Amino acid sequence: MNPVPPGIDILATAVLILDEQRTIRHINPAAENLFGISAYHAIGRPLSAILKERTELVRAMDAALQEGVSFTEHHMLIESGDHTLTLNLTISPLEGELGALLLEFHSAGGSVKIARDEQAMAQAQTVQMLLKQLAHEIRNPLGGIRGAAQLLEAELNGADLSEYTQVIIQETNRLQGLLDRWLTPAKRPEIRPVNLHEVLERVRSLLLAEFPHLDIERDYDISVPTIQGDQEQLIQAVLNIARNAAQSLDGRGTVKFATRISRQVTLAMKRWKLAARIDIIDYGPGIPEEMQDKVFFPLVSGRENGTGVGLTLAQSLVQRHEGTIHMVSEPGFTCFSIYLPIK
Amino acid sequence: MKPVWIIDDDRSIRWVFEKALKRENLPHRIFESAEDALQALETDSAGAVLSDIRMPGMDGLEFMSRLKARLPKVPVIIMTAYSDLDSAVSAF
Repeated sequence: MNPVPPGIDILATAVLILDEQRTIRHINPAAENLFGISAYHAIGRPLSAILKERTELVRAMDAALQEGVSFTEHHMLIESGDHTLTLNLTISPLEGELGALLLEFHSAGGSVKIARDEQAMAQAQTVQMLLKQLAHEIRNPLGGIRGAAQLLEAELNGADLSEYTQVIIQETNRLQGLLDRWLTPAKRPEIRPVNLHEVLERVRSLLLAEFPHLDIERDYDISVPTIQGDQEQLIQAVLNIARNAAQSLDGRGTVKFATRISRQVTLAMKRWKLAARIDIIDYGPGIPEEMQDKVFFPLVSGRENGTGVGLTLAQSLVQRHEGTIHMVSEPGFTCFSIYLPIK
Repeated sequence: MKPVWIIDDDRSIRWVFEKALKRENLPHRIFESAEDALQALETDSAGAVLSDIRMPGMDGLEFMSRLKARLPKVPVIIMTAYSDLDSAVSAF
């Protein structure tokens, strides 16, 4: 039939050969392994049978076919069965009877995209540390200003003038509150088995109390097992994210809580067989593209009265559980996914 | 009564205490560092001590234990920037 070059099957790289209709003509052992499917079941079937053909992938394949050019995509999120893999992919057009497209998949470190890569994470941590130091430096002078205002107020005779000192005191209070929220290290977590659906139900009640016109849908996979963690901290983390969603809708609209199991995920460069995933979805205006990179940094807030520490705190609480938060946002759809390993 | 001793490395905090205590007519002594206060202990004693924890040089907790060694009856109030005791303690 079609002579497959002998080298392909001994490669460690996963290789697929497709025809013009994207039907699988050949799959090498490395690819059988990567996608968890045998050649017997793959050959003759469409590509979509073994992995989800997302827009960017289809576009790249079409471009390779039409323009006769090779493409390499880095850090492509590929969903295959239950797995989400992060792979580098090279797509090359083929001539002759072998087929139309050659797909080569290389492992890209397998990390689920969160704060991008290791360097970005380290940078983010440095920034956070510097900001923490700054906040600490601000604390004392702020206390001095407040104390001086209080002493001054005690010396005043007329109530009119105390209006001025009150402004000073109240504004310093506001700043101190901000610093408190920012600087308070989360208490040592009390690790116990936590039912994530209980966490979500609690957040739901709290959120409805704050936003009574909100509609909160649930899509729970009740087979998600309990995880080891601090329930209060998880409630806080989820609440901060959910509150963001509610605020982006101005309190009116639908927010959805979903739970799922995730297999073979890499969180903060550590691999886990099983993880629980909580999705907090809203169909609001979305996070502007310029802000998406900075969303977890402290003091970044799209709202006028926002303190900008909610998501940062959520991120650090989730990280204490060895989990991560993944975000996808476009106008009309925003999804924050919290991954928590199941140990 | 014996003076209240204030130990804090921050200028504005010292100022506030100075004014407040003066207003209440409470005798007081203000120190920039635990070392200065320790030296004063050679010759004088305090009615009460209010001290910051984190200071360059000797920290407030160490000063407190040294004070207790000499004058166990002097009440000490430790001030901290941390919002809860748990983390202030765990920081050490």
